[in-house]
Amino acid sequence: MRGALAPLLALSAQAVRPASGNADFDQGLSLLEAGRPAEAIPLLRRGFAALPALPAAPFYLGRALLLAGDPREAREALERAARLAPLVPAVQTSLGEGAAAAGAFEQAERAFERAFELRPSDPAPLLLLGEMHLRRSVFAKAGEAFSRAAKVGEPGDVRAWRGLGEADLGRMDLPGAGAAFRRALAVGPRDGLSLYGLGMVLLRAGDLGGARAALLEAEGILRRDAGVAYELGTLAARAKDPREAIRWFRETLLRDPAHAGATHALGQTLLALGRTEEGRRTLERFRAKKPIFDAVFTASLQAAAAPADPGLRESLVLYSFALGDLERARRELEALGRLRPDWRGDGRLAAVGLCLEGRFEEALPRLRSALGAGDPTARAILEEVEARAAARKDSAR
Amino acid sequence: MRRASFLLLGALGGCADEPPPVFRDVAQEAGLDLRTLCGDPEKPYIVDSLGTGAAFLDFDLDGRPDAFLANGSRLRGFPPGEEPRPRFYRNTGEGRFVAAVVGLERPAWWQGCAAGDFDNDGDPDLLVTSLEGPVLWRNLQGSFGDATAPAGVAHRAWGTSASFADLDADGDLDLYVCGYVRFELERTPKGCPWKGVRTFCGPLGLPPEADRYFRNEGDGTFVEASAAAGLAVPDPAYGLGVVASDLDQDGAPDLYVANDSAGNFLFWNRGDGTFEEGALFAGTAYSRDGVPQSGMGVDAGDADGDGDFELFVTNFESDHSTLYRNLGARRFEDVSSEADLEAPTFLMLKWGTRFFDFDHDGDLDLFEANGHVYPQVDAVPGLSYRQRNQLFRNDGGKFVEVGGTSGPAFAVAEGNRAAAFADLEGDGDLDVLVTRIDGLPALLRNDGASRLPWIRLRLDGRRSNRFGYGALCLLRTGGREQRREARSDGSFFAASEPVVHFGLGGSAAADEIEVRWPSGQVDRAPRLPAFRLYRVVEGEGFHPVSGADRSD
Repeated sequence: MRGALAPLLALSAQAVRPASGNADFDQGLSLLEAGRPAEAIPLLRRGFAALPALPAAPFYLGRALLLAGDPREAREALERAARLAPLVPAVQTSLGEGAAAAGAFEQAERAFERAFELRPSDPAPLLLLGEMHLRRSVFAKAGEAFSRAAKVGEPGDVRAWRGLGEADLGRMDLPGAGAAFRRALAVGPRDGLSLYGLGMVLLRAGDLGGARAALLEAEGILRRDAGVAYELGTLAARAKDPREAIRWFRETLLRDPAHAGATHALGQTLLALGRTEEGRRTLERFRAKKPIFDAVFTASLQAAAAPADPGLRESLVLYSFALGDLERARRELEALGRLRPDWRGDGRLAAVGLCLEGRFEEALPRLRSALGAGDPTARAILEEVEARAAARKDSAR
Repeated sequence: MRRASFLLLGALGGCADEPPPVFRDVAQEAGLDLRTLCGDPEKPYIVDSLGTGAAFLDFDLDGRPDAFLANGSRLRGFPPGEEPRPRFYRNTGEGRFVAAVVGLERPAWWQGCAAGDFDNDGDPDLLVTSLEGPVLWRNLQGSFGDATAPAGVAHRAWGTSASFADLDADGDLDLYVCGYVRFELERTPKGCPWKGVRTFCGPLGLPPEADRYFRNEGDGTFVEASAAAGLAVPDPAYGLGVVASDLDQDGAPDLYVANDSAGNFLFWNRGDGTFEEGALFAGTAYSRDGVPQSGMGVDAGDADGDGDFELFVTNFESDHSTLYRNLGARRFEDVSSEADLEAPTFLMLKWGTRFFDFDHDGDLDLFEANGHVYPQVDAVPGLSYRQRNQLFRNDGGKFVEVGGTSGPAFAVAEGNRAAAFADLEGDGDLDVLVTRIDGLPALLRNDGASRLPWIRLRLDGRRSNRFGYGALCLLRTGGREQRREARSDGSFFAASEPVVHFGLGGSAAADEIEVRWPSGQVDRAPRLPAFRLYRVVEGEGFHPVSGADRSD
């Protein structure tokens, strides 16, 4: 499950907005507010150089760097801002975010706690703290942070209750998770993610009717969410309705072609229905891609613990691409570009970059020379590119 | 365990009134006193983490299972004479053990155990794996001799669990040895992140060690035949647990291998001693979600009483143990959630396991030995390095955790690893020997089940292998049928007593017992009274060998 908390900081950041009189800084700030952090960065750098004692200068530079995906430099800028304005909650919150993104989790925890201490009426730092622990699968600490956030004001924040539900679900505390998701829904009855969470809890608790109702409602709200479709497939399989299960697993794969669980479950369900050839074909595809599914799974976990590690980003680019998840490959390549601007020096990455621009024919020979022969990831990447290049040729004909 | 008063037996069939059995750790009073060691306490490398194994085998053929406890070492070694050594214990009766020097006290970094009569001479032999290859100890009736090289099973590799089974149906026991990691200290990184702490690295990222299959040639020697038998896979994995069981009911034992951090293997036996790997199509490679789990221990048993064998695999922390229900036609389904095993096993790191009828109600319950691999997890809220073991009562196909009401032994948190099962006192119920990493073992004595009806079968093969490994035993009573296989393997790092055990669910006798031997021979006996151990000689029939007649 996921949460999107970025807007919180944009709001709280207003607290340190200055009138600087420096044109670069002001223009950079405007670009940042317009959602163009990458363009804002050079201007904000110049502004920072001109206004070294102004807390807002490193603060907004840090924000821009953070939004542009450069956590290491962002953290440095935000540390500077925190030295200049240690009592501003928004600065501490941003520092927490920057430190978390750079993998400095203890520093992040201290900063989030400090921010909350400075403004106990605002649960935002605790929500971010909880999210950080969730991403790292430290569920007990995540639950504690969300639980504290939920107590800020009545009836509490829907994200806090939902986060608590997610933390409890991560520990397989089904009663706790169910109660938390229900509290989230009491605050925000149309919160699709809480309905999704509740559906997962009820499914695991064996309440198939309740799970179905919650998941269908989540489906109506979230629309085209691969996770919800997958859970509905699993639910149908458990309810011994294989045709419905197949429908949902196929839907999952339409929404997320790299969904390993749906590929596996689809194959198993087809086999259970006696559609042996089709089932075996699906599972053969799963087997062929399995090393990559596994690698993505592992690298994603590791990247959550070490978000600024360029090696892990590099792996995620290649793995996502090998699974045909071009959207994710593009995102990961962008993130890698910020950590390692010279990524084109690596033949494999350069070839993937060409493919992402649709230049498959140019990429193919470079890939063939760059990839190791006995490597299943390399095999899968090559197959993916060859298939796409062939498809392109066909459509051109 | 101790015998109960006859008065308690008042109403056979009235088991509901009986207090449930409880387990007590009696290792110290029983004399099992070996404190084992496995690496440095901080566990900087993966080699430090697996612990050591245990075996039950009736070494001296006195009818009582003797015990073997493996021991480990550490990377920096020990001064000569100070090395940890394994220990063998003779069972002197009444559940007491005495350490005995029998020739296998050699120091090494020992791992798992497998027991079986590989030379068909009527006594059990012992294979112990280690970081540097296995040693096959031949039972010389009074001592053990190292038969590794002459028997042809010598190889240098980190072996874990192993299984003796007659895989080619020729009447002798073949051998399957799981390989784990090709460990090279200088190439192994240190300090990998895990939930905010730094722990040892691996197995992911380290090269896997291939499993090996040794075919018994019938003359006391083996030939490595992994490739010839179809048991050499192109992508080896990190093998930790293995069980040989006839999962498709074609009369030939199949092999199921639990792999760490990778899909599990299921090798279907074609009936001619060759195999095909089919875990993915069978639905037993991964969890329901298609996720590779971290298989540790494994067992097979008819958990739902429908006549075929389910598979159970214990896995890592933050993942559930997996129960695969056998659907027939070589298909299984992950029913961990439906069986209520998902949530209670989730936070545990699980190892030794077995289906066993601890309360004699006629269905198979489950035991899990638990303990984390990272001492550093004590700094992670909600997790702990030392964990308590779990006992699950089979309640109509759902499993209810009953450790909390099953005696003080289940309240103790330790670094549990291997679990071996046997009836130590010959009182009819099953006790559990659990090894603990860097600690003393636990001997969980079952107190209470023996007053409820039971039958045990000790098999004596003639055309089949000597202890009847792989024989299918059927007990029919009150319109129900129970099926059990004779074997010693499964669990993790452990060899259990191969005597077949039935709880009778309140019936005073079995209406009929049938033994289907691997040779094809079928032996049947009608109306066998409970509370007895029967020796079943292939082709000759059933002979009671001990046990009180509780009917008077």
